[in-house]
Amino acid sequence: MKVFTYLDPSSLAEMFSVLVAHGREARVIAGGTDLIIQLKQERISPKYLISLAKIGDLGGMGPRVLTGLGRKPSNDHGQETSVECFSLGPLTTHRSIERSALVREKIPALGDAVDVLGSVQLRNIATIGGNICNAAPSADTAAPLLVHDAVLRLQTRDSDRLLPLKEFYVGPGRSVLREGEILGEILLPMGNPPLVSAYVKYSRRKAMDLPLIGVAVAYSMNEKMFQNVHIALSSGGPTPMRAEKAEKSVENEPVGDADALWARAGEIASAEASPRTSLRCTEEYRRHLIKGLVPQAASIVGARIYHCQGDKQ
Amino acid sequence: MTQMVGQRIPLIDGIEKVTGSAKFTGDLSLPGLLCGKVLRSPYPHAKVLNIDFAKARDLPGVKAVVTAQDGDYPPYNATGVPGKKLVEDQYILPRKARFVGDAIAAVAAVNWETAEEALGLIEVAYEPLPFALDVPSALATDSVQIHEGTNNIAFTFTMAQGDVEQGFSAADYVFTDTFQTSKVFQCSIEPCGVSVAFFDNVGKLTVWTSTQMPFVIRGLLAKTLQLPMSRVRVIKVNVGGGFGSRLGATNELICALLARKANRPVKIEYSREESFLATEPRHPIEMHLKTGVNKDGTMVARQLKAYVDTGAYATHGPAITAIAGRWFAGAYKCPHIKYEGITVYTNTVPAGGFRGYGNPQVAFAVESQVDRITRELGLDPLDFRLKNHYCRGDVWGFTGYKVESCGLAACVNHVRQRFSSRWPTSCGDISPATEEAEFVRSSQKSSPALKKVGVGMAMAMHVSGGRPFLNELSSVIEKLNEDGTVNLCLGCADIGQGSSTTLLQIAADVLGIEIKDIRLSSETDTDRDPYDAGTHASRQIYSGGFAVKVASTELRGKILLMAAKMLDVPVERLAIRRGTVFDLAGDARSISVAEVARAAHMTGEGQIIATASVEPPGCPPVVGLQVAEVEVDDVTGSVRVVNLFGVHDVGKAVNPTIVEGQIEGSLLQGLGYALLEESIVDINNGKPFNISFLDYKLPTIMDLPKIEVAIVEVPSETGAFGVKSVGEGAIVPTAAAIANAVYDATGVRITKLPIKPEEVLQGLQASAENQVIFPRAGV
Repeated sequence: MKVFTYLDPSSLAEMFSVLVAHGREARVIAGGTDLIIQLKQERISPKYLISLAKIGDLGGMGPRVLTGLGRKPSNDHGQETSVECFSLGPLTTHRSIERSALVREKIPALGDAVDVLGSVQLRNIATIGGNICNAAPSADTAAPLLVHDAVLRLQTRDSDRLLPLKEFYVGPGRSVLREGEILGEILLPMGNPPLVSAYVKYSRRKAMDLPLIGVAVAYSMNEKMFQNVHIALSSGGPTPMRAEKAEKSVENEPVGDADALWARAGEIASAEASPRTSLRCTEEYRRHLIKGLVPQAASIVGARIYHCQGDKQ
Repeated sequence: MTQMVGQRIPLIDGIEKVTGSAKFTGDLSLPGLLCGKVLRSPYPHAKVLNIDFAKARDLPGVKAVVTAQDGDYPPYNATGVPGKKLVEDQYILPRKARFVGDAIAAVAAVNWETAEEALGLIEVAYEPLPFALDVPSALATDSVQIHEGTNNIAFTFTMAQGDVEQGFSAADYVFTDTFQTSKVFQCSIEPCGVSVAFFDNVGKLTVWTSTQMPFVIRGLLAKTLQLPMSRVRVIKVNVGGGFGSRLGATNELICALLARKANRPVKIEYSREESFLATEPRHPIEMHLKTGVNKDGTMVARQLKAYVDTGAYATHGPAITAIAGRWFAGAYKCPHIKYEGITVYTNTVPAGGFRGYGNPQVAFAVESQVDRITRELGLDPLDFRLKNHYCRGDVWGFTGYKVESCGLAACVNHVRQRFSSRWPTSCGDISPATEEAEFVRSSQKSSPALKKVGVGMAMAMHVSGGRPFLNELSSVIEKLNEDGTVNLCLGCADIGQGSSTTLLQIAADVLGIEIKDIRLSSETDTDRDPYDAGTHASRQIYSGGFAVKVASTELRGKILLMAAKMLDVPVERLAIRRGTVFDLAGDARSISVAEVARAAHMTGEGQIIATASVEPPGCPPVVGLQVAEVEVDDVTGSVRVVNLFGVHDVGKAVNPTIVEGQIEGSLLQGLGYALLEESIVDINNGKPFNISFLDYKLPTIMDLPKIEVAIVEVPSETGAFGVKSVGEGAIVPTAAAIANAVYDATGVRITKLPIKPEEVLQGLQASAENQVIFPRAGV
């Protein structure tokens, strides 16, 4: 590990001023569970490490109503829509997400993901913002956030921008995060009817391991049809990704054909993914896993929806 | 006084270990201590043309740089086994790199950062050479000569009994299979390779090191640095686990070179990555196994050809190659046996000892094939083993000694009771397809539609010590202090396995003195303690225990003689209990051992001291059976071990808690070997890919199945209190038991470790269509 200077500003303003001052020579550290390894292996050697730990307003989670989320073409009449969201501060630890009943209710796939991410000790330290900004294709939280259409609020000293998570990733370990910019907030729009989701991970070990494939599935149902079908993959390609062709194959299709539909969706997702052969696992096996895990995740979602309806009756 | 032997007393060093106050080599601090760092070859095979270290030497804070250019030191073999002709092909700093990680130069500096920076300033001109990363390529090529003139064969070994060809032609059936095991690491909690070296003002070298073999390290230091043994002192403090990784020199020799050049104490502390890069893992072995067997299950002829991948240097390779033949011959009796072993050099990290010393590899092959034989012939696997194993009175194929005692029948009973529906007492015709494993019925979580379930078993025999192949000297000095307490000086290294506690239990019972009054240091010091062959071959309780019993018997005799004089009664009438000498006839008064000790000190008799430096008389084999229950996921092909059951004959469980711990640890380590662990090397450049715990998949506590342990005690004739051994035997059959369970679940016979989900799936699908679906990653 190369020598560096550790800075721990106590406010956002102070943080931005050092971040701007040191530019490319600085790296931001949150939980540090990935970053410290990269430092030790000298894959990165910043001169300054800027900690977010002392900045109070970057943690926490809960519902929040947001205006200005409407960036869709259908919403270009100048009207500001207000959207009910679930908000996650980037410094929220995986452990507090894991223990949140609200997350289990609103974003069940994210709850599934943090259950199997690293270990308890690691989840006590590691943050959701770090998991996103690290931009690893294998990030466990990426697929669940993608199926919930997560939007990131990216902040600089002078400005804010909102960006859908799926536009954030560029390649393995690379994102569109600019110099002097940090992730300020993660927003998950709450649909109506609400999306129900699940995440299934396959790894060699039961803990302290990366997914060879992680599959998140979310949808809602009316009496007859699957709606708002979202499928996302961790380790399915150079970045976490949505499997849009597979989604379309199920969208508005009859609920009664679930088994055949999801088996086909697994095959389509497997084909549209671009996993790679590495020393960890072959491409062929990853594709096989996608095929098998998409229906598994979908059936968990189905069980959850059924369970909720059962509660209401 | 309660007998201590057989009691579950806590580890004598348990509290210090649990509270973190125990000191390890890495905790050591000395005035002026420098930090040593090693420069490693990035090439798997390359000539070192030139090393320019001027910039490193001139960096402020750097106190010494050592390279191969400093001069020649004698070649050595890192095992340092005394009294053996060894293949000596290693140099402290070689002039040719033979694996990625080979030590090329080293630096000592005032702190880690400076040492690290200095490494970056050393300019090495390499001439990369063609390389061979596995046995087939090392044997196929003439262009790669890892050690000139060897054709990459370090050693060959053959042994034969009877005439296998005649046996095969006479046998009703002949089974032929090929098996391949992987390169796995011991992964003790303290990384392997921590030492501190220091030359004092009169040139005497002291080395503190995390080792299993203090006297071997002393011998290697004396040999390579050309010092008399009297001027080399090796101290072992607490060690965080060995499992064979610390059987020879790791970085003690480099550390001593740096200390001599810097004329200051130097510490080298390998990181986990360096432990993976440059310390000795288990040998991968490719095994071609052929067995002739009659309809009734009698083994007629057995033949094994083994290619042992020793990596870049011979070290343990030749010994493992020879011993693998012994494990093979010692597994089942048979009139015709042939073994051929070839030790092959490859451009990978040199391999060494790892719990079982060749036996887990051989047992994986032999026990997998026995499973196949019993299934195809419709034989009960337990009866088959009872019929063919070496029992009491047989001359064991491993040692050539008579088997002193055998607990297999008792082990078989345990298995039949626990798995009565699977392997009932009377051997019937059991069809695996219709027989459902017991756990499935009770398991709520498993979803039968997606899981296949299976049960498998395997047997293992192992040794208690290294006789007759190794010198098994254990030595003890017992000194009675004037307050009646005893100091036990023992050259045996407790490396975390609990041998010190167990040996104290033996001493306490022989002496009649309470454990709290006997002190056995957690440190071994070659200047203070008498010679011991080291902690290997599961020998400390059999061999060390034997020496402790001999010395304690002598000490007790001397105490009683002195007391007899003081009390004026015949010595035969006296006994010691709880530190008190008393008259069995009840006539004379009782006196404390403390009074006896004081009298001896003060009346010219001299301190009461006893010594023993002895080899134990035999090498009693241990035997065990293990059963694995697995679930195989239809979708992913992954294998989940639901339950591991181990029943082992240990002779006498001096401390049952320690014995159970050894078996439980073996089962988990064996599970890692079976399912998860393997060192993966990039075929393009020879670089090991998984040198961290992220990618080297050691099982976590979450991967731990239910574990059941049963102990069988059929005492040996020669061990103190009937002890045999437990340290290694229990890891021997685990991988085969799991592989056999996978077969039971899926009908797929896995012949290559670790068992990969891809290959299980491929096996499932290949039974229908004969094609490769998932090529092995990286190949």
